[in-house]
Amino acid sequence: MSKEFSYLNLNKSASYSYVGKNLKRVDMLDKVTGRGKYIDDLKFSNMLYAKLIRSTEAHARIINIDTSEAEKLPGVKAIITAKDVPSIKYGLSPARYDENIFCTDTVKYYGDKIGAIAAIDEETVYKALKLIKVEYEVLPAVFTPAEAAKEGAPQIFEEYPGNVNTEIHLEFGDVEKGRQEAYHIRTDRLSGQRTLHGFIEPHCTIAYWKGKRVHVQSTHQSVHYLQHHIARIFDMKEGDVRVTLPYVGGGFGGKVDISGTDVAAVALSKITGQPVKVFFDLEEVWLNGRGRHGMDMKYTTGVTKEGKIVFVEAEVILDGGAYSGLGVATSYYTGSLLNVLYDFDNYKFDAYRYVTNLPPCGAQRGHGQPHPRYAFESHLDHIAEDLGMDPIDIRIVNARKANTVTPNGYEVKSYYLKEANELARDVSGWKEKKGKLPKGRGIGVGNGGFVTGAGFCMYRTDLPHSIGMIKIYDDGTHAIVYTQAVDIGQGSDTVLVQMAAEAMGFPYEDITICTRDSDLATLDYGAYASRQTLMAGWAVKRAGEDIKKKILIQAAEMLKVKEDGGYRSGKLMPEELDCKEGYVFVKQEPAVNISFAEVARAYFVKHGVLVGRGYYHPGKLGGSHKGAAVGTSPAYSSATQIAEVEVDMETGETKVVGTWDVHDSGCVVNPQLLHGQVHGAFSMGIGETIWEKVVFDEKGKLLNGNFAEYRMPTALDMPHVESLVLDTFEPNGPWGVKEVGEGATTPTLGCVANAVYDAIGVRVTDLPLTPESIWRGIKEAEKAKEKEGK
Amino acid sequence: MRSFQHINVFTLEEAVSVLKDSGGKAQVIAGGTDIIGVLKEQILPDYPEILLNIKAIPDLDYIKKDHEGLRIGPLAKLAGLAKSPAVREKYGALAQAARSVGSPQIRNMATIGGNLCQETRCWYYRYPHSIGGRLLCLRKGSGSCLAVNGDNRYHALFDARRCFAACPSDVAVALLLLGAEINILGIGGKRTVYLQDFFHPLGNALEPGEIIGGIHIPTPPVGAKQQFLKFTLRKPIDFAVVSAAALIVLDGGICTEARIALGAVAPGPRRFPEAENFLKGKRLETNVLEKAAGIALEGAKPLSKNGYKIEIAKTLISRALSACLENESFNH
Ligand SMILES: Cc1cc2nc3c(=O)[nH]c(=O)nc-3n(C[C@H](O)[C@H](O)[C@H](O)COP(=O)(O)OP(=O)(O)OC[C@H]3O[C@@H](n4cnc5c(N)ncnc54)[C@H](O)[C@@H]3O)c2cc1C
Ligand code: SF4
Repeated sequence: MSKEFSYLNLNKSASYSYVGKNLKRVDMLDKVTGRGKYIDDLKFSNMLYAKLIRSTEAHARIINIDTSEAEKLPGVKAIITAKDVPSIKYGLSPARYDENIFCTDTVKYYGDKIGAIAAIDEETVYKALKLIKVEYEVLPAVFTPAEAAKEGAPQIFEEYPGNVNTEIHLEFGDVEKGRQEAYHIRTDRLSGQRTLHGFIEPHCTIAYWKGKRVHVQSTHQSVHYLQHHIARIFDMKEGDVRVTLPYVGGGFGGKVDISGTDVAAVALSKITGQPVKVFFDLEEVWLNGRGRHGMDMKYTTGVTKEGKIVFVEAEVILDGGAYSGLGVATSYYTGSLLNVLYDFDNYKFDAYRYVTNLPPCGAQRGHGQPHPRYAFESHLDHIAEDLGMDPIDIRIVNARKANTVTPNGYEVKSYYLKEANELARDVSGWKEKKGKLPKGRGIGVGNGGFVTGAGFCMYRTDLPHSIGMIKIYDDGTHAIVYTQAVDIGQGSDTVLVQMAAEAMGFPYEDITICTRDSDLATLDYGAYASRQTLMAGWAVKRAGEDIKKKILIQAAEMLKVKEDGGYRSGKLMPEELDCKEGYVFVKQEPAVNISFAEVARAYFVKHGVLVGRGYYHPGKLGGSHKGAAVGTSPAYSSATQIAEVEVDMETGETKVVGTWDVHDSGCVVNPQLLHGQVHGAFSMGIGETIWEKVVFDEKGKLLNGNFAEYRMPTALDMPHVESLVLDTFEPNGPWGVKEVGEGATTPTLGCVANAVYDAIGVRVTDLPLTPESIWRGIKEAEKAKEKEGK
Repeated sequence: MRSFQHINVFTLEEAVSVLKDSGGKAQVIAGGTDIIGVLKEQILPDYPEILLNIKAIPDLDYIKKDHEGLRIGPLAKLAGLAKSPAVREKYGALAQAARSVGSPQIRNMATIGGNLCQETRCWYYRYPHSIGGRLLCLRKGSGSCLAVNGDNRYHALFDARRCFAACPSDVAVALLLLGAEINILGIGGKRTVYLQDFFHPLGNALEPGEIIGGIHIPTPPVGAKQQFLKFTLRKPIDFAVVSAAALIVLDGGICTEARIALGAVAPGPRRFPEAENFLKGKRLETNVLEKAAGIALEGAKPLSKNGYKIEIAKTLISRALSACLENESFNH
């Protein structure tokens, strides 16, 4: 159950017509009736079906690729390998473009891309795949950062000596000084596992060429980055690449990278002159990877007697897998937001991202945060315990406050973490439960939050971050909102329509949104870094206000005030008017009004099409150190989560029995969608804490690339979720909004792990906290106790 | 997925004769919940040309009481078994086991015959062909076992020699507990095997061309209490890490009959006569139950990564036994 709860009540959402309301999703009927089209529903005459040829070695030099048998198979239309495609390298971090369309010399993991086959139907493609013979010279491989770091370890890339792909050394303030001041210092080491997003729509791309232009339809989180990178890789003008995305079946960060389906489809359709569909089977989604990095984390923290943090030293080691992708940003994110959450001056942060011969890791909901949050929140609980403090009290003592600047230079406007902790404590019954539950039952807290959009584009550019456009129909009865914002299920289409309706004063039901199309819609970077509501929101809001301004000018000419006993006589000025829910009215005398449609039609007759334009660029944001771009943002959300668990002390099985979330998300545009994000975050986070882990065998082969063996929670595994909002206001957001999507997963792992610790009295340090590892933890503690007793 | 012919048959005899005539190119399909996955992932080197749909045979989904016990048709659905008053009344462990399988959708399709004949869940065995080729191993008739030196956290603790895959069927555990017999139909006629003889280290007792024609469960002893329990990682839709079933008869507080069966610990479901004998003639105090569980697991031979299953098995045995005593469901 979720409650509408106004705790701080800092914004005025009550007076809005559409913002702050639980309006029906604009895509609801499409999705529940099955009428909406996902990429697999699209068919084109003459369309070829294609799949990638994948490596069957974890690390090897390609000696020869024999495609002759496959070429003879009737129905095979094209087989391509590295020699048939541009050799330019790509990726998402400009400093680390290290991925080729197809492997040129060595394969770097089991499942790496070697080529692609297009044929007249799926069956022929699968047959042809079996006829490809690749001759390898097998090279020694490394599967963990520890192996990768060893002296004399095999080198995966020439450009990453010692297999170090990213190395970060940052210090803010004076850690040594902090050490002197500390009353208590403690070190903890914890580790997090590789996980995967778990969306149900595998990657797929359909491409076809018309003259010099290519039309790419894909499963992606960003129209713009796909367009930009396809143009770059194939040496084309961006204007010659049209990207459209049908409905996208989930992303969670796994559809931000350029996928093998994208590049192969463009290349194959160019060669064959036919539309080509390249598709993944479910297990290939695991091979494509880009999920959460495996991480080893070490924190040393000093505190005062009162629990105030005086310094933190963090070291994070990341298992990056074979390529960079977004991994450089991930590495920075593991450290950059810790002192947004907690207010302390002296901070040292070191990170090493190693390449290994496994599928590449990248961004997964909460990008780089959930594991370090898990580790630090666990660490913080131990410090509180050492000091004899309540875990929530130590969080309140250190919680950042609004209108402050972090030691790494980030400007934090609204921030109500303290209040989130207090409310979560009160609604969860924390005081009655903490330390008072029977053995096997426990309660734990975790804090988190996220950027509301990244402050910079992923590549160097001076483009704005979001452009909105609204067109009113000729007769004034309908509006179309244009934006390349990408609804991957999170609901951005809905909230953007709500915002457009509010800004124009136009009925929500009479608006259609035109998105996910580079030809038709206007620039937006897409769905990542929790940016759509704030950034696309600003652009749409401004476009709506532009329309409203024009409508009011036009209406001022049309509205007549009554001469006798009326508001006043004479000509009306636009400033005296307002427009809400489809009517323009005189503010002082609302009975004098005219419909938006009538005014808009008159505008059309006089001036032609009525268009509103909106522009958003975050401007210059805080932070000047190397890597400051990863973490700087116009606004930061914060949240407190509490979980209560029951652990079976004999089997180690954990059941999460209750969860509470209090979010400082600014003004909430659609509360139901926010609660949906929170429920989803708990489901993902609980899964990652207890069950999920991508498993490989000793040769780097994926063992659990399916939803039977890669266990994600089902509805029946879900506890009751109590989701509350503080109703805060963010000056940098349209109507005061901030993010919820990614930040909501960041506290979950920590709060569940802390609840398990509270239940069993032993810290199990490695995720996931499977029944087996918990059981072993309990047994080891019993043994240690016995020894002590003797 | 590769194409195949889908043929309906209308009698068991017809099924047997088509199987024979096909020379090994045909395979039975019942609910299809296992075989479709197996074919889609192309985990086996051989791919059938014909799927013989036995669902078209009328009246084979019966669940019938008679004076000797219970007769179950090979097409009886797991959902039906879980709901059937006859099963719940005297064969409660079977109803619980059927209820524990998969999800409602799966139980509505899955048949008891298919459940007994499903392929192992060993993840090397199930490795999909589409990503670098299926893995061949001893069970597939080529090479050695990959699990024994690999990741064997879910593999067998008992009776395995060259293949260490565990039997995934939960239903089989309850059937073993209840002393079921399997009626097999083949070209040569009918034969009957006890459930304990149905599972073999590398497969089952069915010869080429044979199918399961029915299952018979003798009436359990008067006053028998039974309980099936299953330990999974995730609550619903998950295979057993270990499953356990127990049956107990008490006379004046003294145990006169005891049966203990475990699933997912051996190539087939397994009984534990020493532990059962230990219980007989005793008052079943908690420490006695725990002792019996210990005795049952004495012969376990853990592999490198599945030692934890021993502890789960012990816990499940004591819990299943004590649930029988309390006669209340502990069902997972
Ligand atoms: C997601 C999922 C979760 C599952 N969880 C569990 C679980 O927790 N516990 C559990 O026990 N099982 C579980 N299963 C397996 C499931 O119970 C079996 O797939 C099902 O019982 C098979 O029955 P079916 O009728 O669909 O068989 P089919 O898939 O049609 O056939 C399976 C095999 O049996 C053969 N066969 C079928 N009927 C006969 C017959 N009469 N004679 C001879 N051979 C026959 C077929 O040739 C085939 O080889 C799960 C399956 C899935 C997909
Ligand atoms: S346990 Fe059996 S099925 Fe699994 S790899 Fe070994 S031989 Fe093959």
